[in-house]
Amino acid sequence: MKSQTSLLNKTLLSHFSGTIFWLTIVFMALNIIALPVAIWIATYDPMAHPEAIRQIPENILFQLSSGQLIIGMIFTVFLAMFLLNYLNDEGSSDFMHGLPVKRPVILIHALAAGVAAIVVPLIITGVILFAERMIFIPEIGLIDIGKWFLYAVFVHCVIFALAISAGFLVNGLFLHMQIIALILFLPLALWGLTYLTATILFDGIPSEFFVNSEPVLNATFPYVAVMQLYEGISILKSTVWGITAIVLIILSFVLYNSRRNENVTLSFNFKWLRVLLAAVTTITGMLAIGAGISMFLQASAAVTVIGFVIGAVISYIIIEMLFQRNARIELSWKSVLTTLIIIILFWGIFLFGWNRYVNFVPAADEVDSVYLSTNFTDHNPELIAKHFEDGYLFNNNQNAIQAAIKAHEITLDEKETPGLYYIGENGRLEITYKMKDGSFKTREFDTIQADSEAIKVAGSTDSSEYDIHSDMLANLKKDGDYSLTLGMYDVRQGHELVEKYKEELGTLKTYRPDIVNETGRVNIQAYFYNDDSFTGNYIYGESSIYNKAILDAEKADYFSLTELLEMDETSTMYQVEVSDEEMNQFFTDYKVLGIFDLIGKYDMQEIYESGDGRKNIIDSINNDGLAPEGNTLLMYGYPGSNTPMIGTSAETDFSILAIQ
Amino acid sequence: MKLAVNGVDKSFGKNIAVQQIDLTITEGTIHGLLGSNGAGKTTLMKVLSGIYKADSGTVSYDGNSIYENPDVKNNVIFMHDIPFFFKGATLKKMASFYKAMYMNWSDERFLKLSAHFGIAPDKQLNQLSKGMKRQAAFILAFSARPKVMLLDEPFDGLDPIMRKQVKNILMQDIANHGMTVVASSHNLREMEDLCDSVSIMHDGKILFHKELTDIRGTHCKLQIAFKELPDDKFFTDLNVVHQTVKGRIITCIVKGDISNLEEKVTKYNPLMYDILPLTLEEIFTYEMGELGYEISNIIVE
Repeated sequence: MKSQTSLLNKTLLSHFSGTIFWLTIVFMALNIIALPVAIWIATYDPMAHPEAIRQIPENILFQLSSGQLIIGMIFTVFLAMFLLNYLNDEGSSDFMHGLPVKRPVILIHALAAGVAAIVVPLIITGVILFAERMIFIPEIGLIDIGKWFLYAVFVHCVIFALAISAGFLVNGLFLHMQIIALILFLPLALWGLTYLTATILFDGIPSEFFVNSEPVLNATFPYVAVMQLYEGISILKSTVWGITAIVLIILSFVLYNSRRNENVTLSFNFKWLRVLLAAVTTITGMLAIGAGISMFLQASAAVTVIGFVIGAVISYIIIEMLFQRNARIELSWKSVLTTLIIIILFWGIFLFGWNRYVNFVPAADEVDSVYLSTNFTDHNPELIAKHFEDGYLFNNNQNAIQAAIKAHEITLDEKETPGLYYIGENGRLEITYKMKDGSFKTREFDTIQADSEAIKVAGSTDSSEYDIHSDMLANLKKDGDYSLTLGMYDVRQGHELVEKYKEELGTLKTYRPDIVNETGRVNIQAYFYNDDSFTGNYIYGESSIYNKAILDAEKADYFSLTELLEMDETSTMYQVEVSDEEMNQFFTDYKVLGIFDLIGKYDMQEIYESGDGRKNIIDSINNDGLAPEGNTLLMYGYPGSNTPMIGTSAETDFSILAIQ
Repeated sequence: MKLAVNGVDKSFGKNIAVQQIDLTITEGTIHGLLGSNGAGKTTLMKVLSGIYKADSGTVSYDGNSIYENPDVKNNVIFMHDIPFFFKGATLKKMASFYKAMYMNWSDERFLKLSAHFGIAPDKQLNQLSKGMKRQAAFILAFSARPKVMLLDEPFDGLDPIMRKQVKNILMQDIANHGMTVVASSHNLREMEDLCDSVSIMHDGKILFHKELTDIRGTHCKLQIAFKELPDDKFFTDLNVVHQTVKGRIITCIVKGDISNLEEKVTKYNPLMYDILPLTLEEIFTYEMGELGYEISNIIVE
């Protein structure tokens, strides 16, 4: 007995399932390879002793599931494309809509078939993972399998909802794929290329793209989905995307009900969407081609303009070919004109907006603290705020804020178009303001001269005491989930090092501030984790070698001070005695004068490799030979830096250490 | 089921495909929808089948609208000019799909018809010839036992024997089950011995809609030869509405009471005469001529 009121029509469901059956089989096979097989390979060690302790990360399932997730997202896109393929052909569209079934019922069956094709392979993969856990990989947690399964279903369903709704915008299998790709990645591509173009045309834009792209990255679901595996699942982001998926499914029903079957022969169901996409995609292509030409042919402004014009023309033609599904395109003057107007509007907003952005200087009373550097460090202010104590790298002293604003204003007067290089080296200035409202504003400039007044102002920060703001270990939060490296060497007890370093901090304040601020700086890197999974975030900075905690860590981890400072591989070494009165001037000259000018000005003795000169110095340093309380300074060149460059300061090629 | 179309318009963007269509088709009859390519026949058929939504106006079957109405669609089957089957589907698979969709499906009928037409149930339909596909489409449509069949160029690709067989089954269903058929064609002779009523479409409009039995009872063709041609009184006496004269032979269409036509003709002492029923083409030649259209511009053989 057939019933028209039954919720599911088995034949219709079977029809849709049959359409995607082999695709589902492929997905299942790839799933099994990407996860259970991959985990097995990653944990299998045929040489290991049966009783040996296995070094398997606890969260190996989540670490390896990004590959499965990416495969799954691609599969889901194809799934939606083939399920809705009946809408792309006049014969099949007419046939399906001539049947005694309402459109919502057809869509419900397509969705049910799609969800089943997503869930069943994931269940089978989960069962295999469970069997692996039971038989030979007990490190895979049962709860982790459950978490992975739920998260994978969630991610696949969001992509499925997005891909299904996209299917009602266009008619054509390939066009459907294009529109899904555009919905997923066009905002990110457009913003990324806008940012890249801005960095080519304007000096002052921070090089840290990701810091300035969070809203766009959060709007790129594949990125969010994969990053959450490493950074931990954000309830807020997941909820927003979950609601978006539900809205898109509802929208799909609305679009399907309003869809006109006669439009099956058209590429797009909505003309305005076609015009808008053609324009926006043309802008994206224009920026990609124009920025490429501008980067490789830095000839003149005319070349840049021609690059963007050529980029726009090429992009528009390619997009029309794709949208018209034909290489022999027909141009619509309406579309050309609309695209042209949108491009002009884009450039207007682009030039006005970025010009305003790079020329912005905050009022001093709005600034809470400031970070000022003459080297680019690519610091992420949000990451610093999360893992470091308040004040790290940021100085809230009013003089420092005023100096930063002054240096900023001088830089704005002197800056040029990016791509300008001076003889020797360009001056670099990075300023990050932490505003009183908690936001950060960063600007990076590199088209000023090395001897610019701005650089001098930036270098004239308060040197009356040890600069604790710049000390990484002094500011790293003790309870964070991180690991540390000193120079090239891993620190086994990172948290202990931080704790002891802070305890010994008072000693640093007893030394001459210019000695501890300008010499004995050791590079530190902190890698941040989430549930033992590396988030991909790391920060590097400097601390003082004169802190006893570092000397203890060096001994505990079996490397020497000179290895840590890369002094063993240095090619040039000078020793100099500087009186207390000359000390401050010496450090100023070190930052401005070249090494040969410095040698001429101060009585610097070169220490040669022959006669064990260097060996004795190195041995002495490794035997508690540091002396930040003294007046003897050792300058040593960076490894591989044999001949100092003409026009560069000694600071560029040499480090300083205070020794006995 | 009685089909009623009232004031239907359908446009594709700026192109008006169908304009102000009013049509009523009585249950248990065959209606021929005639017109040249691009006249709007297929568009109208798709509106009638609920595939397209009319921009304005209504299409109803026994008073119920068909668009997005499964209860009505369950009794209405539209057969496209190019039959559609799922990729890789066999007649058997398509039959099981139709069976799940149409409540009146008859397995018995399907088995009988597929045996009669000799199509292997397990052969992929897309591998069949054009005519065989058409036969398969008819098997499926007849097995669904609809109350209304909408046929777009139904006999295209069928050989004369198959045409006759299909027509016979159509006639049986009309006679036994009161099925209503709307068939579109640009071939007048094809529809001549099939239709109870016909419409002619041109530029999206129905120019002409008539019951053929009415026309045949009131019109006939007279071929008559004279020693000397009669004067105009002859044409007015006989109520001639259209005539051609070649030498001393007159061929004319006579309208009105044709029962005493022979008596009137003999008064003019013709050398010989013949009274014939009108073909569709002749009917249209006359009717369309009255409306100011040249039938040759509208219907293409």
